[in-house]
Amino acid sequence: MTLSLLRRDIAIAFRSGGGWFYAVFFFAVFTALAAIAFGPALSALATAAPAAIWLAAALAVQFAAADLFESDVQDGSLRVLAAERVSLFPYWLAKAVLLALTAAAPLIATAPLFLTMLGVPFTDGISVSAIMLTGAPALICIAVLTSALSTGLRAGGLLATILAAPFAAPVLVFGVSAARALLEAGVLISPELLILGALSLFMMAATPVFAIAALRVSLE
Amino acid sequence: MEQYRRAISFRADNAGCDRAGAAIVRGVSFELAPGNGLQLFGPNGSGKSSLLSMFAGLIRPADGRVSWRCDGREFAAPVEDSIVFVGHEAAIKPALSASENLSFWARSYGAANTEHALERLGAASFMQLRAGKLSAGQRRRVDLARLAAAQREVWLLDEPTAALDKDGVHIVRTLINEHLARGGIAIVATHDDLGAGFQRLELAR
Amino acid sequence: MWSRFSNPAKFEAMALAIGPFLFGAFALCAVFGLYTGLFNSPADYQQGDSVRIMYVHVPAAWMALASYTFIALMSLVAFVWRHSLADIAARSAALPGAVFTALALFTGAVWGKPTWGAWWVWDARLTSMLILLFIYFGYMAVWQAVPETARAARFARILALIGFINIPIIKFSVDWWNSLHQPASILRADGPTIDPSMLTPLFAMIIAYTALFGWLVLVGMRTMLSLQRVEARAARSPSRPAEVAAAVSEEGA
Repeated sequence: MTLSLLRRDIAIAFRSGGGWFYAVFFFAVFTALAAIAFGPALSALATAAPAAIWLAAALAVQFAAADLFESDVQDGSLRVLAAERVSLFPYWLAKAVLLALTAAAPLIATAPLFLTMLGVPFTDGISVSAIMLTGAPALICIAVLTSALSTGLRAGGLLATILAAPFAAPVLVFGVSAARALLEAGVLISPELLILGALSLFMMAATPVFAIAALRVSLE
Repeated sequence: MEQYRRAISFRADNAGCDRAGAAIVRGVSFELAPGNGLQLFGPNGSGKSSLLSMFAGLIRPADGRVSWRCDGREFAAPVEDSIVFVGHEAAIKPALSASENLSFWARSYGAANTEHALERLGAASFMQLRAGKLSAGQRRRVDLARLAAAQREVWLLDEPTAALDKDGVHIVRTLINEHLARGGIAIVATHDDLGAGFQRLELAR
Repeated sequence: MWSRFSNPAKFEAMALAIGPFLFGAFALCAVFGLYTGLFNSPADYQQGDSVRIMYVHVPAAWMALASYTFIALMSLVAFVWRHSLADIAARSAALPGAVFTALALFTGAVWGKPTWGAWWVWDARLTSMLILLFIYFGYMAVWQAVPETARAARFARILALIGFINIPIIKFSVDWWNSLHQPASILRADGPTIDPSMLTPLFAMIIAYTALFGWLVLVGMRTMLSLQRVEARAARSPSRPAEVAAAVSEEGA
């Protein structure tokens, strides 16, 4: 079920003309804006780089998740799915993986490039990507949850981001700290990284049931 | 005609449901043994769709109760993998072709033969076309092809004949009657009378 | 006793009875607490008189968290027992809770100015309070953004519960973050150094705030119940099956 849902959604994403990879564009734009805001001195940029890249990633994933459930709610597919099977967990999983593939993966892959623009050496940038990979599941789960809570509402994307902020704050704290630990002290497997991983695991375990409950509410 | 695997019946006892926090339907009572169908009539907004969602287990009954019986045992929730739900809109993705759309659903039903199902609904001629290019009636036929693809005992249909021409309505009637003859049950919200042989429930304001 | 909490009519009766007591308790304790705090308790040897803002700040911070715990608890009750009254209680607690949080932030800043020399510093407590304020905003936003109240209630329940689970994580992460960047002293007004004569006004203020919270929640709930009654009267009566055609079985064919 998860796989066939995923294949369907990927096919739709690819055929709908490019919208799916806007997350990478946003990522690029935000990084550029951050660089412009922080000023051209590479030393200043390098200090700001971990924060800028994490903010860019968190926001990009949030925005990419905005219409995750839109189409299925509009055309009644979600109602049919919910009526015809017992558990919506495969549906949640398919959407989370979809977000991971279309938004998170391109971000993580291109992060070293943008980090270079922020004054971070390329090899370090790859390690930072690895750190972001550890925190990506947390960001994805939060985005899926807040998207489910705001489906079909006016300004749903903005509302979702507001709702997501308290959940994303710890991820940012430890994600940026882990990146700093790498860039300043050369430590990849820092305590912050481990906590980041724990956060990701926690979000993967705790959010699905709430997200699915929210989807069922939207069917009532 | 080959009978369905399970004998599932449905019963509503003074059931009622709410919509947007307000009572929308009250006092619905009927029983469907295998082989029986119910037609649900009523003006728009009278709660037919809400009732169907309630029967499908998506909404809690605000009043009374509903119960399912399968092979002698009684359940408050629908039996697993027993329902095909056809909603008000066609659950069809415009970016996929008709046959791709149906294949997706068929996989969840564990069915393989989508071509046959599309043929039964008279949709075989346009099955390779992207659903976005189809008319409303054609999309409806593709959506209804799920009924032919699945081997499930309970059909919950919300205005299945909407946007269909006379041929289409006839096909739907035939499908439903065959389904009932095989021991299935069906609850159909409809404006088109599906003929005799159905219980009737009319929602009046 | 529990029926008083599930039956709107009985609840109203109870609310009308208890309300004045709560307000009276608030008024008395607030007056007592403020008087003793401002005039009868010692100044801090280090901070001088500015420590007195503790009597407004600490209870506010306590109420900020207690209010959200109340919201989460009511959401749980609403979820398990399906009490619409619990939903209304949670919703009524949101604005008071948010105001307490904002008050804690404001008084924290006022307290910080003479102590740290700046209106705002990112110390662990203030940062956690700020995030808590955002949580309140999000919670209130859900009630506003969803057009149907019944559905809004269900979304709000979910958000309140997962938000509550997240609070310890936020606290932990903000403490961690703060310890990395700012080893500067955090005001520990509730530490063992507190003088007993400071405790009395502090407790009085905590009771005052709690009573005020209770009173505000009851007032809010009664308002919402009245609104509900007005809406219910305006709603049309539900469809019923027409007598003639109902459940007449025509088998055969």
